[in-house]
Order: sequence, then structure tokens, then C-alpha cells
Amino acid sequence: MTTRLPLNFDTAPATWQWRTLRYLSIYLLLAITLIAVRYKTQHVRPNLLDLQKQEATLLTQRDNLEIAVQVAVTPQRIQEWAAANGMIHFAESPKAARDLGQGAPLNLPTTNNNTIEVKTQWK
Amino acid sequence: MEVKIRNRSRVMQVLALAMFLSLVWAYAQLEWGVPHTVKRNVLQSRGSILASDGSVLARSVGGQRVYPQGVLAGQVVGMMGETDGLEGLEAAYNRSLQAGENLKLTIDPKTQAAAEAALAQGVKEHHGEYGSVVIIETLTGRVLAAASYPPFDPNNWRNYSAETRRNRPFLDTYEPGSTIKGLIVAAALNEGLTTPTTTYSTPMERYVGGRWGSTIHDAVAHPATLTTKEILRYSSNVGMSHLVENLTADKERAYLSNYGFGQDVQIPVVATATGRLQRPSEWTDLVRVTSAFGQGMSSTTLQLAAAYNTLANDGLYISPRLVEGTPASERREVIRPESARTIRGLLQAVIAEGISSAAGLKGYALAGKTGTSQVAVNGKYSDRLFDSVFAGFFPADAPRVTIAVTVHGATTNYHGSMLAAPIYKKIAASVISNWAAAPQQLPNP
Repeated sequence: MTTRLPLNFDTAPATWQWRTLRYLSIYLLLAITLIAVRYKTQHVRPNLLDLQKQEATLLTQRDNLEIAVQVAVTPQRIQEWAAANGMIHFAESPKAARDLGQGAPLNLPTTNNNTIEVKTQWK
Repeated sequence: MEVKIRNRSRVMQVLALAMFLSLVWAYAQLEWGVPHTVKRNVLQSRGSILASDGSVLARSVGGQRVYPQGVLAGQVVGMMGETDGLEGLEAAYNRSLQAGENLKLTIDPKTQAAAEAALAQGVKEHHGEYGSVVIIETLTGRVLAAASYPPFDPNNWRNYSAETRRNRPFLDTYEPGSTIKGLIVAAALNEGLTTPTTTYSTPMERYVGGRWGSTIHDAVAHPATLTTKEILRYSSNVGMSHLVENLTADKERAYLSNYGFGQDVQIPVVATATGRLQRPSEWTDLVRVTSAFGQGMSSTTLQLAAAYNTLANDGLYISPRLVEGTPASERREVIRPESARTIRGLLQAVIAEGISSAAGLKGYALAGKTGTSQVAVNGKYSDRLFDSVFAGFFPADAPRVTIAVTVHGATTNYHGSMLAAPIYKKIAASVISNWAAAPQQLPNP
């Protein structure tokens, strides 16, 4: 099967050379642009990787600090510290009972005996 | 033409070599790089183990498993191998932890720390070998503390022996001794076989068990007659032998069984020991009597705490639980509420009238019972090896917490009232102080 070209199709070598040059220059221009952009942004990826590493390090540091805080304030350490400083449990402290006698009478405010009468009329 | 073919074959050779080298590189990555990454990821994504207040007991940081609280509940938490839990909850809940789920326990760090500190002090002062404590929240059965001594730090688990890593309160079994008296008196009260004021003739020794019987002795000097209340106070074995005369072997065994002895503790997944009650066919008269003061049977500290919790909880047995959010697996009424209230008064009197300096706190109603049991060595009771035991609860009128304490192998002042009771007192002081409960002037129990 053969394909027929349209009658007005320009097959002159000069035309094709010109087209080749034109498209090649566009391609080269795009390629150079791409390379230029890549060159300009070459630090972005290493920076990103660095930041990711820093983030991981900071997360680990934060976790370690959280654990260090937890280790520092464990109930055992607090109890040991309290005992070493002569503290005793509240429930073990010496207790004494004392009769405080009859308290002084309270000066309660006198009640106001004024009354209000309300009449309700239903209509 | 030949040159063209040769050139193409060169190109193909180079391509094949490149592909082969890329395969070698990929394999090397698999062999050296990936397993390490996988291990790190498995550890890093593993769920945390949390205490009831949210503080972290086990957590993964930087691809490593760390235990910030160190020895706190070390034996309960257990430890990790390369990628899997090896012991304790790390092993029991390995699958869910691997799936990234957190595990929240009922353990209260303050209570746990108080139990561990008091236990360590008691065992060291009395030159004991090891010990355990269990603390249960009365109404719910939540295990607030499960302490073992010697302590174990999962961060450096390779430095500890298997014995030290053992979760003793759940796994060690021993004869609970006279602590059982409180439970049996409760059963006799429940059956209407005795009252607090019923009087019994109580010489210091008595022969029981017929032809195959034996002579039982009392350790604490006491009057020739004792009431039920005094039998508990003086911990009289002879008195107990009278008290269970009308309690049939079947019934006594059924009560002990309902208190949880000789039964698996229904804590899901976690390893616990069953302890031992003799088979019904073995319950001779002698067994019936000796079981009434805790000989010839065995129990874990967890079982003992759960049994005493039944008295504290108006006669309702609740199986202990260790993980938040799981319901109690078992609930059953063992004795009636009024019987439970009566025995609570008697156990309060044991402390108030008998061992107030060892186990009592002025202004607070503590209740409990001591036990001292000889340890069987090669089938015979040793006269040098003892278990010092205490079980109790507080406040006696409306209990919130039940505690069981055991110390094994103490060589000085090994009696329950001298060793286990003061440990109970210290823990009670700490717990009550955390509650900030004001002292009260207490009526006589």
C-alpha cells in the first residue's frame, strides 16, 4: 500500500533543511534551558536531604530528651529523694486528737421576714 | 558487513555485562543493607507500652527499644530480642505491638514504685532471697502493682539471670499459710457455722485426722478458750481445726476453688501459674484441717490478692486484669455481702488489736492477716526456710485497695507479722498519702 502525498506538499531540500535547523534549535534551546534550570537548582536536592537528616536527628534528640525527662522524674527517684531528705509519708506522720471545745456561736445574718403577696388573675 | 556485526555484538556484550553487574549490586544491597533497615523499621514502628497514667514503660526510639522507667515493673513489661518480644508483655502482646498498637496497662507507676521500694527494703533488711507484691483495685480488679524483688532493668536484660527476670507475683507458687484463715472463717460465717463471738476450747496443740492424723500446734501463746475473732488474732491452728469441724471437705474445697485457688487466673495472654489444691479424693480429715490454715495447697501472690479482694469486694470475686479496656473475665459471688462485712471487721481487729505497730497506721482502718509457712524441701517441711506472707485491704469499712505480700527465704525475723506486715504497712502509707485521705478517730472494730 502506498501513501500519496498531497499535491502541494513541499518536498524541496532547502525547505527541509530550514525546518531541521529550526526544530533542532528549539530542541537545543529547551535542552539548554533545562540544563540551566538544573544547574541553578542543583543545591535544592542536597539541601533537602540535609534537612531530612537534620529533622531525623532532631526527632531522635527530642525522643531522647523526653526519655531523659521521664527517667529523671520516675516515682522511684522522687521517693528516694524524699526519703533521703528526711521526708515521711503523710499517712505515717504523728497524729494527736484534741477536743477543740464548743465553737463560738456564729453570727448568722438575721432573716428578713418581709413577705411578698402575689395575686394571679387568670383570664 | 562483518565489522558491523562484530560492533553490534560488542555493544550487546557491554549491555549484558552492565545488566549482570546491576544484578550483583542489587543482591549486595539485599544482603547487607535491607535486613538492617527492616529490623530498624520493625523496632521503630513497634507500639509503646504505657502505664495507666500515660507514662511510658517501653518505647522505640532511633530504632532501639528503650524502657524509660528502668526497673519499674521490669518483670511485667519483659524485654525485646532483635525483632520480637522475648518475655513479659513484650512477648505476650508481640503481635499487636508489632502492628503499631500501643498497650495501656492498669499499672499505676506511683503504686508500683511504692510496692517495689517497700518490698526491696523488707527483703534486704531481713536477708531474704526474693519476694513479690500484688496490689489490686478492689471494685474493678485492675492490677495497680505487680512487684518482684530482686529488680530487673529490661534496658540491660542480658546482665540479669532468668530467675531475676521472672515475673514472680504471677508465677511463683507457695503455701499461703495462715492468710487462708481469713478466707476460711469467712466461709464458715457464710455457712452459718460460726459467729465472731463463738467460743472454742483451744489448747496449744491438738491431734486431728484419726488414724492417719497428726498433731497440730499453735505458735503464738493464747488463752485456753478463744472466740472466732481471737482465733484470727492469735492465728490459732487449733482454733481453726474446731472451726472447720462442721464444714465438709467438699464445701471447704469449693470455697477455696471459688476464691480462685487451684484455678487459672483469667488474665488474657499473660502467663500465670495455677497453684494447687489437692484432688477431692485426697481430702481426708487431716487435709481438711491443714487446708484451713493454708498447708498442703499452693498459690501465687496474684491468686492470694484476688482471693482477699473477694472479701474486700462484698464477697464478689473479680478476676484481676492488667490491660486497660479489657473487662474482667470472671465475676462470681463467693460469700454474701454481710459475711464479707463481718470478716472485714474481724480482719481489722487482727491489726488493731494484734499487730497495730507492725501493720497499722494510726487514724486509718487497715485490715489483713499474716502468714508464715515452712517451705517444703525434698518432701519435708524445712525448719530453716520460710515464706513470710501478708494479705489485706483498706479502708476496712469500704475497701479501695487489696494487697498481698510474700517474702521467701528470710533468715531474720521471718514471721509474717515481722516482715510481710511492715511491707504492707509501708505500701498502705504510700497509697493513702497519694489519696491525701485525712485520718479519722476510729471506733473499735
